[in-house]
Amino acid sequence: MSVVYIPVQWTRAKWVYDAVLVAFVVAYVALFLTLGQAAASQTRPVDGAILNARALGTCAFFMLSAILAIGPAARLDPRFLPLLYNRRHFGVLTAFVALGHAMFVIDWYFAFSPTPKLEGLLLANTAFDRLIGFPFEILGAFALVVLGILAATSHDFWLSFLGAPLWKRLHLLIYPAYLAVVGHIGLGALQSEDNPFFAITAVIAAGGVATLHLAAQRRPSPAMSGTWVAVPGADGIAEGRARIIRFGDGTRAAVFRHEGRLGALSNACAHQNGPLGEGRILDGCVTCPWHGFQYRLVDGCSPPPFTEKVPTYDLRRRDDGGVEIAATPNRLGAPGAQVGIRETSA
Amino acid sequence: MTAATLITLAEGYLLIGAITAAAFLLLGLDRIEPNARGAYAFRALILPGLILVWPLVLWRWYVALRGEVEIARYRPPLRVQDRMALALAIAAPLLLVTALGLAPEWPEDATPVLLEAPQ
Repeated sequence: MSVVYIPVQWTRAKWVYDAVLVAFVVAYVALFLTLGQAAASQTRPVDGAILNARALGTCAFFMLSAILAIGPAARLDPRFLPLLYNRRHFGVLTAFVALGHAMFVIDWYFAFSPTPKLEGLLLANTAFDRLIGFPFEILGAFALVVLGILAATSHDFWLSFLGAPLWKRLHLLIYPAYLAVVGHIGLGALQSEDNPFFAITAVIAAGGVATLHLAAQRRPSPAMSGTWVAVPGADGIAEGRARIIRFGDGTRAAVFRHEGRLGALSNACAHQNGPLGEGRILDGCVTCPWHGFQYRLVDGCSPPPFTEKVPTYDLRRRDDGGVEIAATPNRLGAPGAQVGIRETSA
Repeated sequence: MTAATLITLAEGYLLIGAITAAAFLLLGLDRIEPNARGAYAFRALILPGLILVWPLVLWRWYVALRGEVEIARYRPPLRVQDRMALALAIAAPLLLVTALGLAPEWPEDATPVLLEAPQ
């Protein structure tokens, strides 16, 4: 919620998060370099440069798996939300680790290439018509380019400049990138790996990512169509909490209860489109569970000096006592009609 | 298309990106982004992105200058994300297990074969 952009909005939590990440990378690489030589096949000893490349490559794979696991894990259990808070730093560090892997590979395997190294990488294997012997290097190169783009567009400026939906679409490239990485190691290193340890851990990591994504698939509430749609059990919403309503066009609104009244906002935070309806009201403002962006329930505006806005929705009370929400949002900054709570009798 | 052509194309893409980035930082950023006015340190961080996704930069710059469209920030691509997540959940383990199934296994008791040097 910066007023003027700065390189990084450091907080104590971010320092701790980043310190843990860097400590993990250093410890992992040190452990790999210590144990890797001994674990290599006696008949095919591993050179130092290859060991470095493998250490950074496997580290990047596990980091990427963890990054992809955080989102669905946080959706399934809010206790994982703190990991989501600074995930962009996780991604940037992963991109650098993957870049280190690529540099070791290129500098070692293409050191004496008669053509420029990158050209040699593209020319080394062109057997695209087979699985065994597939040019897995291209898959890794694709993933590295994607990680680079995602890391380079991770500053909050990009969210503002592109808009959260376009930014999210760009960052959905992480899915094909992960698939490319799985292909890169499956059709590459694992084809000639004698030690089953990495194959087993790779299956566990990829399987874990897949399982979490299947478990966290959104089970949409029935889509509501019409100019006004019902808000089931509106008077039973807990204080400071919300009920999410899905409209026929797929958009969602969050109906919050605050100090005896019900009000509605778009469910998508203006920052990264986090689910506002899964957040709560803190200090009188709807607070996004992802990064803490806040909005006033009455008009959807962030409290000054911040300038973010989400649209409000009008609510009304039917003759039979039920609450309805307008299917069309109000213009940004316009107050939404609220209704008072009616205590339900037991 | 040869590898050299691909690399030349990539270099050309990045060169256009560098020119676009310089123009945007000098002429565009302050006009369209109020939060960037008076802020300079963060520009070094966004420079690589400006170079890498310059077609998007030009498009958003153009849209911002026209000022005719307000970005619908409250319409996330949930359906696309769910479908891509589902595809990943199916394809990643499948690809890995298939690749492991294809990995050649040599019998431990294979007899070494002495190859003769070519004449």
